[in-house]
Amino acid sequence: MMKKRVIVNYSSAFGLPGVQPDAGMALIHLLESKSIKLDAIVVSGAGPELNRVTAAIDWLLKFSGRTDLRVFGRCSDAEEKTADEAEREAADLLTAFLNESEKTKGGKAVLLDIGEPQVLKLAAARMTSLSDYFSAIVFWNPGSTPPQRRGAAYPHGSLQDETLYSVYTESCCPLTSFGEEAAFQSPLDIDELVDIRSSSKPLFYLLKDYLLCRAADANIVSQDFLYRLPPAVYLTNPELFSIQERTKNGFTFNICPYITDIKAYNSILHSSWTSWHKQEASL
Amino acid sequence: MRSRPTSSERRYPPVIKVIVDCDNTFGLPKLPIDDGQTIIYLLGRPDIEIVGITTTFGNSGIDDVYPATCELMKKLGRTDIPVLRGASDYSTGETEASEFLIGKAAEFKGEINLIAIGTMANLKTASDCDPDFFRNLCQITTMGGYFHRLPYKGWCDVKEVNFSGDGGAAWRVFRAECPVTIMSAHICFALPFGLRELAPVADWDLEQYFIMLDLLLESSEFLDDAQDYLWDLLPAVYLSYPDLFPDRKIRIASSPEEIESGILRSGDDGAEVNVPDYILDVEECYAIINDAWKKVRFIGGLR
Repeated sequence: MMKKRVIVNYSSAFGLPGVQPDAGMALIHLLESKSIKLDAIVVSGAGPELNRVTAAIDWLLKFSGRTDLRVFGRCSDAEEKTADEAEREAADLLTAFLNESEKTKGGKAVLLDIGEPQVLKLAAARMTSLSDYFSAIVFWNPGSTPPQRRGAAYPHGSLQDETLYSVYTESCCPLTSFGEEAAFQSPLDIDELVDIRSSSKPLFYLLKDYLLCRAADANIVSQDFLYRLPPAVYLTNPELFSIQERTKNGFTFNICPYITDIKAYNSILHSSWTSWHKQEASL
Repeated sequence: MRSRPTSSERRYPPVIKVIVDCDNTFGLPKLPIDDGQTIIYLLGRPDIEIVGITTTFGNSGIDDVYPATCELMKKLGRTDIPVLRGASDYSTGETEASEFLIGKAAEFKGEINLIAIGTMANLKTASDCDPDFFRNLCQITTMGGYFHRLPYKGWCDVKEVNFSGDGGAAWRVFRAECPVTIMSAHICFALPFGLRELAPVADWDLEQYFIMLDLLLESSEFLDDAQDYLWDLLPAVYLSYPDLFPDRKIRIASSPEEIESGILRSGDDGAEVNVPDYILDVEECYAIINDAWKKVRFIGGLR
């Protein structure tokens, strides 16, 4: 089977206390999916957050037995560089990688953007057209509709970064945008933990801790939504999503208002999480 | 018994000389982390000087324990502290570890606090080779054994490791010619270590946090819980804060065979040891441990 090549833009410190788990779970799904070959991960994180994100991605890849993956954005020597310097270095490396990759690998990868924009923006400024390097772009676009669910506490009620958004909309490759709507079909609460426990105990305990911490906070409810998961699942199983074409300012792109088969969606996720962390760790 | 340090002592702490005799497997997959957590704790204590670390079989074989301990000390940037290879089983006899124990106990007569948190094989060999060995120590603090089945999730049928690995050696240590304090499994259940207890570590050292997270999540696969206990930490905390653990002098009459099944039995004809059965202030105990861990940094993590 020909695997779909994917580059992920990622900004989650998944694994650290209180961090929203959706992006980490999406990455695990892609790491474990047999139909996906991850080419690289681009890591961004504002300011000091970058250290937390890079430490967390290092841990996640080690725990998944995938330390072979290229990560752009990890500080080569964190003590010596500011976050800005690290991001500039990452953008340089990513630009070179994309140029080289186009020559050597034949065909383009899909960009899954579920992270912060810093490194991709810097890379875009270094290239004639960043989007030309990808066969498709699938991105998380929060705030495209206002959250109207109890417990939908996604903090950034704004659109994707404007500069990057314009890079995407000017792209000639297919563009698919995911807002909150699909995620609302797939909440994360105590009920969902029961099934996750049977697919992955490490994931279960991490999520249980996350939900209990939320429950302990009087201002939010224990339920959350796995916002960044649908775009990742779309890469492996596009048939599970309703896709509608929209035109805005003369540009055409796809949006995904809902998941067509939620049972199949959950079953696919549990199946990929089951194989997570079967590798032996070592010193 | 030493009282809890006053504030002036905390500014100018007396140095407590310590040798750690352990079966550390910190960093090895699916094996306990508490020996390593104890070493990290001790390194973060201003009143503790680790004279050396002797290794023994227990949590795993000596071929795992010794290199894992060397690697841990390297990652902690403390290769100045000697790590000695010890017994590979109960019949090993003299090793560089037992020689080190004898030598340091004689050199610092009455000053060495021996934290024995592996099997007791190195200690017995040292005492067989030098009858004054135990007499030369300040005290032994150790962890192991239980008086009845452990009524805790995931731990009901867990085999005791430290004393049972060499019942004859443990029997001898209980009769050492120096004060002996035992933290049995029961008191250790007061100090669980799960994701909640781990969370504060992320505030001061991400490497330390992720290493411990790794090991907690790995243990969830076979323990059915992402929670462990700070077993071997207690004998170490006791050294600086003995009055957190009210004394309970009892006589342990278990035979070497009983000890090999992990069982401690009290009886009038046994050896008198101190076996505290509760912690006076559990939250303070966590604060003390976190305060020490905070002062220690990993160099590049365990990868």
